[in-house]
Parts: sequence; C-alpha cells; structure tokens
Amino acid sequence: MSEPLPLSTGLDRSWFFRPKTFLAGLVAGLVLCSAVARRVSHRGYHDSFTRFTQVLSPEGQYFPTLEEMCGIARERCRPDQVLVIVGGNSIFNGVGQPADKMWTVELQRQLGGGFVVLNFAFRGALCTDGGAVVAEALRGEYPRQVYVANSSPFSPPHPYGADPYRYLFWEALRSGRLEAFAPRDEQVAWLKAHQYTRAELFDQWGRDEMDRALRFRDLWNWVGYTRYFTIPNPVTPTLPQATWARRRFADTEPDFEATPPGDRLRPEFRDAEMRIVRGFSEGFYDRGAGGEWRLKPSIRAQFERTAKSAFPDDLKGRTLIMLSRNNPFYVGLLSADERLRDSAAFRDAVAEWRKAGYEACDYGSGYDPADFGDRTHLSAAGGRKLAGQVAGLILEIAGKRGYLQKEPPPP
Amino acid sequence: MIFTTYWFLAFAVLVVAGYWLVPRAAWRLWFLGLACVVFHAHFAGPAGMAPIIVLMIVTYLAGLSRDRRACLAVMALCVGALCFYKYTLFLVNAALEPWSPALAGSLRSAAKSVMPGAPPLGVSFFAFEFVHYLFEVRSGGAPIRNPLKFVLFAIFFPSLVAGPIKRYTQFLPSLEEGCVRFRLDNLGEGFLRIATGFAKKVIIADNLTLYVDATQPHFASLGPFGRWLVVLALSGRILMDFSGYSDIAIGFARLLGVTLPENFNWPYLARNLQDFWQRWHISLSFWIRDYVYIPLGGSRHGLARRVLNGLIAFGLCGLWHGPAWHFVLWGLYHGLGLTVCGSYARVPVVGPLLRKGFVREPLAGLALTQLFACTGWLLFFYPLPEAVQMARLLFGL
Repeated sequence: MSEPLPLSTGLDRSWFFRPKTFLAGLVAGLVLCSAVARRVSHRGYHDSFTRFTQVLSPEGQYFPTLEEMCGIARERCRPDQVLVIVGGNSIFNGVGQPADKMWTVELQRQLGGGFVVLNFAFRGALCTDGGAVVAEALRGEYPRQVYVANSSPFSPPHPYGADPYRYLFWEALRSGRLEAFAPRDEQVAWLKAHQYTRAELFDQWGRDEMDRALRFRDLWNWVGYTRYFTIPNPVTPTLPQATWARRRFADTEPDFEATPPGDRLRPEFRDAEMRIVRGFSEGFYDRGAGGEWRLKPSIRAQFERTAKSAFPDDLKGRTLIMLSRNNPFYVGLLSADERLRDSAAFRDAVAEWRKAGYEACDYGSGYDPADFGDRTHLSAAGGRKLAGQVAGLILEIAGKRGYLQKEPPPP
Repeated sequence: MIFTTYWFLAFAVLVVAGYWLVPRAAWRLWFLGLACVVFHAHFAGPAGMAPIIVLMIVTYLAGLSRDRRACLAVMALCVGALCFYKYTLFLVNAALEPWSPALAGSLRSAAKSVMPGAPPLGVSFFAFEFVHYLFEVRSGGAPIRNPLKFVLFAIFFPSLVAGPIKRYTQFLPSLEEGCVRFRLDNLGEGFLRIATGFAKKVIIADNLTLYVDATQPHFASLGPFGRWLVVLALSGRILMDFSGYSDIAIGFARLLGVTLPENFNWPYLARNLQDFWQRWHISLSFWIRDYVYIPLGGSRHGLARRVLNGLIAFGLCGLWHGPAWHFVLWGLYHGLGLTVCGSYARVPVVGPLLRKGFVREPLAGLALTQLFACTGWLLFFYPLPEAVQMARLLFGL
C-alpha cells in the first residue's frame, strides 16, 4: 500500500484558535459589518463628491451601490429642496470640464438654493442607467425631483440600462426600490429570457439577496472610499496608488479649454468621427414619396416600445431628456442632404420623446465649435450654454409640477 | 470558479444543513450521495457526466473483481479517457501537424465532432483517483464493496473540481467516522479553512492576477525591481490560487465531518527542491511518485534510469496542468532540478562542500530553491520564447 497523504500541515493553532470562539466571532463579525455598512451608506460618506470620476466608477473597479448614491443625495439635499439628478453619459458627466467649471456646477448656480443638483452621470451610460435608478429609488423621500439625462436620437432607452451599470438596476429591482410597472416588467422578462442563462440569473439573484441581508458591497465601498482600496486597476497605474482610499483622488478632469479650439479636433480621427455623426440618422431614415427624409416605421415602433417602458408613467413628466447634437464643425462637413436628415432626426426624436410623455429638447444647434472639446463633449463654455438651457427647462418643469410653491420648512 | 458562485454557496448551505439534520449516519451518506450527483449534474451537464459514470462503473466492477488484468485494463481506459478528452488536440498538433498537416486537420475535425466543447468537469481528478484505486486494489488492497461509498469516493463534491486527489484508504474511514456525530469543532475548522481559502483566492490571488496582467506586457520596460516584483507576484498568485482552492475544498469537507489530505504546506519555506515537492501540491506530487515514478523503477536502477524516470514523471506532472508544451517544459525543468538536487553531493570535492554549506546555512538553500521555483513559474505561465526572454531580462543577460 502507498504511503498515506498528510492530513495536517503540522501547524499547531490550538494556542490561538478555538473553533467555538471562532464561530461566535464569525457570526458577530458579520452582524457588526452589516450594521456598519447600513449605517455609513444610509448617512453618506462622500464628503467631497463632485461626480463619479473614473476612480469612483466601474472603470476603476469601484461600483457605487444604490444605497451609497442615495446616501449622497440625503447628505446634500434637504427634503424642502428640489432634487435634480443628472444622469446620462460622459457628456453630462462633464468630461473635459474641470470640477469647478463643470456644467452642473453652473446649473446649480443658476437654479439657486431651492434646488440641489447631483451629477450621477457615468461614462458610456444610457439615460436609464445610474442616476435614473437612484432618482426612482428616491421618489418617496424626494417627491419633488427632476431627472435630467442626455441621449442621442433613437438610441433605445432600455429600461434595464446597459452594462457595466446594469447592476444598479438589478439591485434596485430586487430590493423593491423600483415602482411596479408592467411595460418595464415585460422588457425585463424578455431580457432574462434572452440574454442570461438560468445559472447567471440565479447567481445575480443570490448575490443581490445576500447583499440585501449583509450589505457587503456597501461595506467594501465604504472601506475602499475612506480607508484603503484593494483592487489594482487601469486608472491607478502604480501599485501604491491602487491601495489608496478613493477619497484621496481629487477630481482632476482635464480642461478642454487649455487647448486652443483649433487644436482640439484630431484630423486623423475625422473619418471615424464623420461615420459616427452620420450614424446619428443614417440607419433610421428612408425616402418618402416626395423625396423627403422619413423616419422608418420599424425604428419608430422600437423607440415607442422602449420609451414607453423606460420610466414609470408617473415619473415620465419629471424626466427631461436632452438630445446631444454633434460639434457643428463635423455637422458642417455633412452634405446638405445629410444635414437635412440629421436635423430631422433631432426634430423627430424630440417629438417622439414628448409623445411618450417625457419632457425633451435638443441642445447644440446654435453652439460654436469652441463650445466643444471634441466631436461630442462640451468645453466649459459649451457647458455654460447647456446649463442655461437646462436651468430654464427645469424651472419650467418645477413650475408645472408645483415644486415651486412655498412650503413650511421641516422642523 | 465554481466555489465563488452563489449557486454553490446556496447548495453548500442546504447540503451541510440537510446532512446534519438527517437523523441517522447511514441516511446521511445517501443524502450526501444525492447531493454529489446534483452538484455534478449541475456543473458538468449530461455530456460531462456520461463519460464519468461509465468510468465509475467499470472502475467499481474491476475493483470488485480484484482481477489484476481487469484492473490494468480499466486503468488504461481511465488514462485513455483522460488523454482523449484533454490531450487529443494537443497530441494531434504536436505529433502529426509537422509531418502531415492534412491528416492532422482531418483528425482534428473528427475529434471535435465526437468530443464535447470542453473536457468533462474534473476529468483529471477522476482519472487519477480511479487509477490510484485500481492500482491499490491490484496490489492487494481491499476494494470498496458498497456502491454508495464508491460513488461518494468518486464524486465527493468538495474535492471534485480542484482536488486534493484523495486516497480511498484515508477518505472512507474519515467519511464513516465523520458522519456519525456532528462536532462543533469541525464546523469551526471548516469555516476557518473556507474563509482562509476565499481570502487567498479573492483578495490575494485575484488581485495579484490583475497586477500581473497589467504589468507583464511592459516587462521589458520595467526596472530590475519591477521585473522581480512581477515574478514574485506570479509566484504568490499561483500559490494563493491553488492553495486557496484546496483550503475551500478541505473546509467544505470538514463541515461534513470529512478530513481531506493537505495539499500545500508552506512550499516557499522549502530548503531544497525535494523539500519543495513534499510541500507543493502534495496530493499530485505524491500521486506522481507512487503511480508513475516508483512503478517506472524509481531510483532503483542506477543514476541514468533515475534521471530518466524523474524526467518522465515530471514531464507528465507538467502536462497534467494543461495540454501545452510550456507545461511539459516546466515539469522537465523541475525534473532536472530534482536530479541536480539529488546528485550534486556526489560531485567530487565541490559536492560535499556545497552540501555542508547548505546544512550550515539553511537560508542559502531556501533562497536558491525559491529562486529556482519562482523563475520556473515563467515557464508555467508563458510560452517558451516569451519565458526565456523574460528570464534573460530578469537576470540581465
């Protein structure tokens, strides 16, 4: 017979390890960690929050939780103020605008103290991602709220958002923080049936349910934000920086305006950028009987379906969708016919959003190339123009919905 | 990683709770057997289960017969199945492609048409454990008569995916003794090992992987310190990854009252290469020793045979890790290292002096061993040209 394998490493742990004490410690530790996570995330701990920079977003292996984002709102916004949550993609995140020149800072200035503007936009997010989920989750606590996000014409506003931010949607859905809304439920059922395996869905469910009980994601985000981070990632290139608490990273967004307008656009990217600019309308239109550009019925139908289910009916009216036009420099390179199609796309998209019950508008048509940093992102000057336009629309929505009526301040 | 899925977590919680709620020890074994089947079916699927079931049945029957030729035939079948599922494409590419690309191409297509998309889950572990079982029975050991106990030995879920490679002579007594009475000590020990394993895997190994993946492409532009840091990260990562898995498996087994063999015992504290292989992936290295090296003749037929046997054994050990040449080279690298380690003392004058030096300064032996083992991980992780280039940069050559 062969020699038996060792059943122990020979390490004597008895002087420090008592199984019963360990088990009691394990249970007590889990309860304590869970309690700490609940407390800190509810209260909020982002003392210097400006926006979700790369180190505070999935790009930097940091996944803000729903409760953490709600905590930021609670920390900043009193119940007597109107909560303005900004969602959308990198344009609304303010890429190319330093923290002090960010368009949402200007928006806050223009709206005044009765409003609190929170920039919850993420790079590459849809208008239904991130900020949209948080706004809906806070609808009870902050009934006087406006949600603003950007989109491009006929980009389908899937109600479940898109990866890598979809985790927030699942978190909110499974914890019962979203409204019951049949059209959205249908879309979610379709998503589950077509894009996930049963094992993946079970795992997501297991993760979210366990997190609801233990709140481990809140705990680790709190540790990662306030104490030290444990995951190396591409946005913190050196090993020591990877361990830094994420609060140590200042919002150091570069300034487009540091580069003269003439040098901002890279000639080598022109062809690629033009393909994108054409893509804003190219696949959506065909010719009508009189040769005019006409929105394809299939595109209209798909958009209507997704727009209908994107937000619950009672939240549609407080949702402002801003359609982002491209840098006029590139639009100017389109042929006259293509420009007509481009204009039709924005005109029709705004009309479709409005028809679905949302507030909608486009921006960028009267902007100067200097208002942009590249094809799509705005410079601080462009941001100021956007802020002015959005502030007016928000005040209009707030007026329509009765948010501006004087109420006694809370005790 | 199966252990980090929530399905597994839910499954493990239900199984451990259910196992101890079942009132009788015999019923517990039935319950555990059913749970192991569910686990195997969930993760392997029908295509992955079918070949394992066939191998399990023939192994059981061959063992029961105690017929030496039957045992040998089934051992060959197990090894054949392992080669077929895991190494067919590698062998076709390695052996046929240079001589007849057309034949290799048609064989590849034929193999792909009959093989599942991926090898059956844990096929290496099944093959090794069945060979061990039949070898021992063929050498006079008692076969497992109870089919349930054989099933439990074969598909015991904690060790099914990543070992340790069990010995039935140890496993069954532990299972029979452990299932009789619930002990809080086992629960504590089990949770400690599981927590340790998850910490090693998720906190240390996965982070080191991220670091290595981000840094290794720029290896040439790093300074000497940065390059050695990458190698150290690689060394830490593989230890924490493998031993983390083993800890989790050992921990879950312990929750069921079963003590599995240890797989790692502070290998980076080894003072020579032989010591290293007594501490690194112990269940695999002992298996290779007992069922490859010793049957080949071990060290009994002179230096040349000993060297050859060592190289064969370690070449196979390398190949076990994956169907690629760099794994084989890594195995041969260690085989050569062990040959030197076992014979340097015979070199006149220098040998005894070196030996004395290592006895007097054990830290020198430890440093040399770890330098050898850590550098070897380059071969384990990267194709030969890349590994050689990295080694040259590492040593400034």
